[in-house]
Amino acid sequence: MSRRGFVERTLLDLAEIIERTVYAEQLARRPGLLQRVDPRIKVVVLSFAILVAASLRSWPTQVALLGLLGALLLASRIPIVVLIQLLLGLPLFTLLVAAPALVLVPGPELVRLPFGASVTTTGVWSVLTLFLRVTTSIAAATALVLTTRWADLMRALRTFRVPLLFVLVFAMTYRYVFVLIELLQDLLLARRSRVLTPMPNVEQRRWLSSALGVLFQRSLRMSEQVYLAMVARGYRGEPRTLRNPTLAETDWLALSLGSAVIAALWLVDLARR
Amino acid sequence: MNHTTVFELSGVSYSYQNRIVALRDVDLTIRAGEALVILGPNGSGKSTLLKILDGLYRPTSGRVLAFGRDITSAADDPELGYWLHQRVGLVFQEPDVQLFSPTVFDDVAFGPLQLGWPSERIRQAVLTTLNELGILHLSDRAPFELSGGEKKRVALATVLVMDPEVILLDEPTANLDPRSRVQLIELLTELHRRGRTLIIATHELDLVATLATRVVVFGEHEHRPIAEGPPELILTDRTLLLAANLIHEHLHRHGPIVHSHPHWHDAEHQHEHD
Repeated sequence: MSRRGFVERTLLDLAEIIERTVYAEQLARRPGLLQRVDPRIKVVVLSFAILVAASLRSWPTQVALLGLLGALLLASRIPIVVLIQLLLGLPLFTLLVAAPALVLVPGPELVRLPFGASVTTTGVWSVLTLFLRVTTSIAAATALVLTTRWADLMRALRTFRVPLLFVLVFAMTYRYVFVLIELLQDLLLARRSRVLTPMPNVEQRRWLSSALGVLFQRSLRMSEQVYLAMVARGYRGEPRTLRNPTLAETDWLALSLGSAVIAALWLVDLARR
Repeated sequence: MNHTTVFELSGVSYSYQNRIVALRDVDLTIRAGEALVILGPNGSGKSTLLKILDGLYRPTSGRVLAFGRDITSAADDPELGYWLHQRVGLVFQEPDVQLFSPTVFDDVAFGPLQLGWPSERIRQAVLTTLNELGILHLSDRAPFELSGGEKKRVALATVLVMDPEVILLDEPTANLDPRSRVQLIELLTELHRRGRTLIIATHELDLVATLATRVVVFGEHEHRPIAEGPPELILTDRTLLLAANLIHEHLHRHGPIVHSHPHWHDAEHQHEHD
């Protein structure tokens, strides 16, 4: 198989970004457990879960919290393959980074290694604790992101006093990233269709810088047009959005139950110290 | 200016960066209830004219009246612009610039929110408009999930929801597949039948045949109207259409016959030969 050039790689990466985003939006629309809960409640409860995960010290409570989040994700119809991909990426990397702690943290010897070094029980526990904390935090963040549509997440941020202007600018940036990605894909495809032999690196860099210039120019023009489109619909510099709907009884129930279970795990953990 | 006049332009010119001329000394009167098609090739100044009519660009010179009020400075006067935008809606050529919110619902609700409508009225108006345009099922979708035809419909919904008296449309059927195109033309016909004033900038002659009550032809190099009249008259004036770069002459085939004559592609290939 021939080695892919930067154009092919970039095209594949761009396509993957769009594909992943569309897939995430589809997951967030599935009729699962967490999808039925108001995003504001999910932000509160899952942020609490992340905070608690960072402070738990005993492994049974850590495993219990991770198990709880895993069960919630499965009940929300998130495919197990997606979960494995997400949960094994960063946590495995964490294990790698934390590996030296196995021998560096002083404590009772567990396994003797060559050159006088040894793996300590304390070291193993430290690494395992870090691994569980990272995995649990990622599970909580995943539960929020994959079961909440981007637009709803943005709306939920407003409840937490994030300035409206910031939320609007953030939402619009996210929106137009996709327009620019499509434009970049077109530029790359147009280039690929006209290039018959491999281009020297200098030429590639020259092309790339001119393509970036085109993108910048286009985004400037588009921002001007978007502003005009806003003004044409009555915008006078003061951002406004619809008020969030009131919370349903089931949302309050989810808030109480979720917070109570996580708080209980925390208390159990404190009692075990 | 009588009470049925919506816009009156006198001596309006516009140039970009004071160098590139887009409009030159345009005089034009548009009456309420018209379906006016501004016909011209690319670069003749149609889009610029629509933006001036919507108070988004300030003319370099000349005067613009809307509903009897001078709106020449609306681009620099937010209150005047706000007054105008409650009565005049503009559907941009590129729907992506008009769909800047996270979801279709949010985009359609944007205009009414700026007008300060109560929340419940906004929700009701958005749902009714989406339903009327047959796109209620798209309500929760993000703009990047929509097809070209769907984007055009949503862009139209963002304007219709504000219930403007005048709707300006910039190349409304550009880049649409045949079915979406027909659906949009039917929708515009219905809006006109209900009394809306439509001002449509296009270079597509089939829109003239199906929608227009009056046509103003912009010259390719003149940047001002070079002819004006009812659609029947304009569409049969081949010399005018050829001069304005709206039709062209080239070889084409009708069954066994290959011949050449000026024509446009959506209609004139359907004719019969003895």
